[in-house]
Amino acid sequence: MVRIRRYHRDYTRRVFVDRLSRGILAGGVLMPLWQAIAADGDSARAYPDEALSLEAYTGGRIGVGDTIDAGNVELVKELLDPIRYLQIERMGRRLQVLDTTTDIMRLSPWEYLEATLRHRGRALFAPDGNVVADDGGPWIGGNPFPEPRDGLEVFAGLTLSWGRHDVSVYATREEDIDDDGNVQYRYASVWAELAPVGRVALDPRPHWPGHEDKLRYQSVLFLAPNDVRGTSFLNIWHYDQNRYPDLFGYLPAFKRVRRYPTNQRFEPLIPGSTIYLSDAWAAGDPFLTWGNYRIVHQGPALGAVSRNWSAVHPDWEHSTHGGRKGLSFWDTAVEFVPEAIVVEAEPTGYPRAPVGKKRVWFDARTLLPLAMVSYDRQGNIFRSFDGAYSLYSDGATTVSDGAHPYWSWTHVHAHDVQTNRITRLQQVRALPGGHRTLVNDQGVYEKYLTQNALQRLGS
Amino acid sequence: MNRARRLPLAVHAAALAVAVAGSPAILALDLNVSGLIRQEMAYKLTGDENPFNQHGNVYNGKTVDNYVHTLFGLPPGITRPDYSESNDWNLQATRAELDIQATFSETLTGAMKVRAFHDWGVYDDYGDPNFFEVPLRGDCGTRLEVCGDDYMIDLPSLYLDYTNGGFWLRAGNQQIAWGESIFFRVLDVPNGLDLRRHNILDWASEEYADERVPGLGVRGSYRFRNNWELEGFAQEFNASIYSNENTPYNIVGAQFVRQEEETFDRVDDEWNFGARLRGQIGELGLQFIAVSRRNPDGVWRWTTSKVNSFTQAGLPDPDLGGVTLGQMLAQTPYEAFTGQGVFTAREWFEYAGLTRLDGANLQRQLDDFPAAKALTAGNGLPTSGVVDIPTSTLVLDAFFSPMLGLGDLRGHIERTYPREHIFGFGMNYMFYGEPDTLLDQLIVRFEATVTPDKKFTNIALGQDPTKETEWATSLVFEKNHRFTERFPATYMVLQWLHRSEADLFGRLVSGYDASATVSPPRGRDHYDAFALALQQPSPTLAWRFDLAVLYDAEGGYLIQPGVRWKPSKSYTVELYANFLDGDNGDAMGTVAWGDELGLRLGYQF
Repeated sequence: MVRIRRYHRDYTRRVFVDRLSRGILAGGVLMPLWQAIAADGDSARAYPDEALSLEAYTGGRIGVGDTIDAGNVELVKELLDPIRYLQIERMGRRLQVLDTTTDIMRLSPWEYLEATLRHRGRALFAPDGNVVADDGGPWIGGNPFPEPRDGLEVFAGLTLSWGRHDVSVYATREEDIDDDGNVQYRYASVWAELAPVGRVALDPRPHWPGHEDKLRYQSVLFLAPNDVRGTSFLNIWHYDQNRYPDLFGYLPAFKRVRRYPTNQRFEPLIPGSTIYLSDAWAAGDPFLTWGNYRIVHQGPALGAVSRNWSAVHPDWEHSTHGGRKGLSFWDTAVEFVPEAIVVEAEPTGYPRAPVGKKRVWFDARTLLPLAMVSYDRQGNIFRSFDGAYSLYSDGATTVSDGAHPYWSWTHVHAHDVQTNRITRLQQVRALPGGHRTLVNDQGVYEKYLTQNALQRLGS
Repeated sequence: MNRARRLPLAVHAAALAVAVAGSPAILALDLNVSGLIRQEMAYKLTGDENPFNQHGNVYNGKTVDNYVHTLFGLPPGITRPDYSESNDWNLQATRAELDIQATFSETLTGAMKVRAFHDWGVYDDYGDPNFFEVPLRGDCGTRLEVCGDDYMIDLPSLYLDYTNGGFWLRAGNQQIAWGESIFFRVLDVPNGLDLRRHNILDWASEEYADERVPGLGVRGSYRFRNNWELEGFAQEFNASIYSNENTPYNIVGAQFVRQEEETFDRVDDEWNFGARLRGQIGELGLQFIAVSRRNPDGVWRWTTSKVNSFTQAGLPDPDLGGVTLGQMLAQTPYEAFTGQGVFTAREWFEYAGLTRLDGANLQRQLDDFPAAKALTAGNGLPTSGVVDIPTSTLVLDAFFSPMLGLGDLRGHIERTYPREHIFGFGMNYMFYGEPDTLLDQLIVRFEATVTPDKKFTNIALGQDPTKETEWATSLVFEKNHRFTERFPATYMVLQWLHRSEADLFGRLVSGYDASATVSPPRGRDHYDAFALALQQPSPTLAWRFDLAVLYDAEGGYLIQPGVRWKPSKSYTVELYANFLDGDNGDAMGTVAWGDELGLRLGYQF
């Protein structure tokens, strides 16, 4: 049967280019994206068929089940950030191609999406720049700006909720790869985040009484190797995004919790790592400490937005490939994202930051970051941060978040292209010492997110 | 799907589902084991030896006039035997540590650290020094320690943690560190220090992590109103542990004999108690403490030698009429015929100055020890007004005379541990300014304690300690500042310590500034010291350059530059130098001999 293509690839491209030139940001091509999502949770109706398929985009040359590698990456160069392109072209990185997920409920936590729909249109900016609900109080959960009009709204939504669960503990293994492709450092750590406001799953909600002036409690605890074991830092984020978080730290050498300055967010916490505090979720700083947000690109992209969970490994660990030793990159599955928004921002609150600007690729449907590329003060390309997401379910095995299959990130690359050092992170089931990935467990506050906890967990 | 088919599927799905949330409270025992092996060494940068050791005594082989000999026309020169040795190394030791963390359930966890330290004894020293055995808990420093001449193995951590909501309880052997000042111990009062391994001269940025003496006890806290925490502890008392005589970092003159067993046994079942309230009000962090403790550093004083030196030496013991000279001497602090004592009054005054004591005040000793007064009077020597150098020299050189007196004498001292009550508070405040200006995110910390009627070592080593109310304060400025885009921020700390009565090591400042020719000491009004610490990591943090400076307001200093290199996950190299200077007018004079280059080569697993 001959299928009549009503909208070819250039039609969709022209729509995006036209919007960008007119300074308009609107999701969807055939209809407003969130109108389609609100109808039945399926984003497909917002785009023509031709804009939902990599096969169509590449004229049939790359399709589902194929591998993107150095031999064909030119065909998808415009769908990749420049560092992923470089990794594939020169360093042997490969991406497996999946079909496009159109069911929005598979692309973020269930409760978060429900809250996003429920609270549509109720967010606004207060005079001090912060996001408030229409009652003037803190935001009440979900993405406040699912149909963003500018880059600031995109970043505000991401910054207000990183992991999209009310509480998350990520048991994390990190490996730092040197220029020769060797694993130079290995770390095990626990990253915990808890939202006291805008809660969508845990009672009390939407706010935890007595904590309404805080946006987030977040800590990181290092478990291995021995010299960093027990080192931990607790960031207490003020709801006011003009303020830097309060930082408390426990260093084993000092045996006690002390308060630390927190404005140095552009350097690794541990030797060998290429991840900065500022990189977290591509929005690691209060969004009002950055500025000059602007949309620089709209169009399709390739993103690892689903089916990247490693269910076959008992601890969910992932396999690697690429680089000189086959250790540089996670095996990653990507799919064609019909519409991505690229937002540029500058660290206006950090005059001596080594970063001059960053560009973040967002999936327009979920407003999740697909990748981040930063540039140094001279404008040279500097570092990247790209992650993969998934429902933790492969049909046979499901990890539950309590009510629904668990959704989260699964692995991350951070690549400093100026030194060619790569940090790989992966979320694992558990780490020695009884530390496990957890979700929506209010007990995490006492376990990881108080000064008392830092003291107790320290060695 | 019919019901009969749905049910097994549901059961199957439930069995496969792994709940991340709502996991059971009881977990299987889960262990996290890690550790390190490290070679630690310190190479001497000067030819100076530790003057507190026999082989570093500044009078070794030197001839000094005995004043009494000159009065009686005897050959005046007294020459101390030359025990001098020349060492290349201050430290050559191997450390192994094993850390085990155990999780028994969501509420119950535990931890154990095994620390083993072996000193290779590559030193040319006097006699056969014992590096680790001390007569406190058995032959060792703490209950959970085994030790020998050249090794110690202990468990600085062995505890269980119980948590339930905002309540936390830790029971077992543990260190407790309070306060936020680094190196200056104002609120950090619960534990004493173990100085046997590398004194306080190891890698400065590790502060006292390796030195704090752990103790069996219970520590608990309860968090309330989100930002406030009430904490308390009850911990078995343990004393600070000083390096033994003739070991490289000994800080007590080897002419002294330290009697520590009996006095510690009197208090070895005593407990320390403390409470702390800590909270945050906006940018202001506050803490308040109250501690009742036995002073772990102790109070030193003369004690009877309990040694009949004549019998011990196999010499005839002169009868003084119902009592022998040896018996009388045993009731004084002195022991004769050892060849390790003080040989002349000049050496006495010299070492009194080095030890921050009043060497001229023999009167206190004569009054405290009737046998000493009787022997002095019996030899026609003055027994009153013996508080200055001329009079004391007459008495001392009479006894030190190998012809008229007893020759060299060792002095016996004991350490007592008075109970004291410490009250204090601390605060921190974060200043904000224009981004990346020097004042932006500057943290200012202030801590203060008062110890009413604190008992200090009497600088004449009298039986009654000196009682003074001591105030201690520290003011800290701390900041991360990025000077260049190319390097991570430089961590900078500037601290000022003020103590009203005693120095960094707890010695009364009234004992400062004495010498072989000046005694009683001129003293100081109070003690002030400044510390500066800088840390500059490389962009990958594989390298870190440190500088630590401790400067005594009267001129002494410790300057420690260092570099830490962590080339891989397993190996760490730390190279640092200690440059020290000072005299009897400052605190650092005590370790001024110790310029050294330190190197630590570590492998961790």
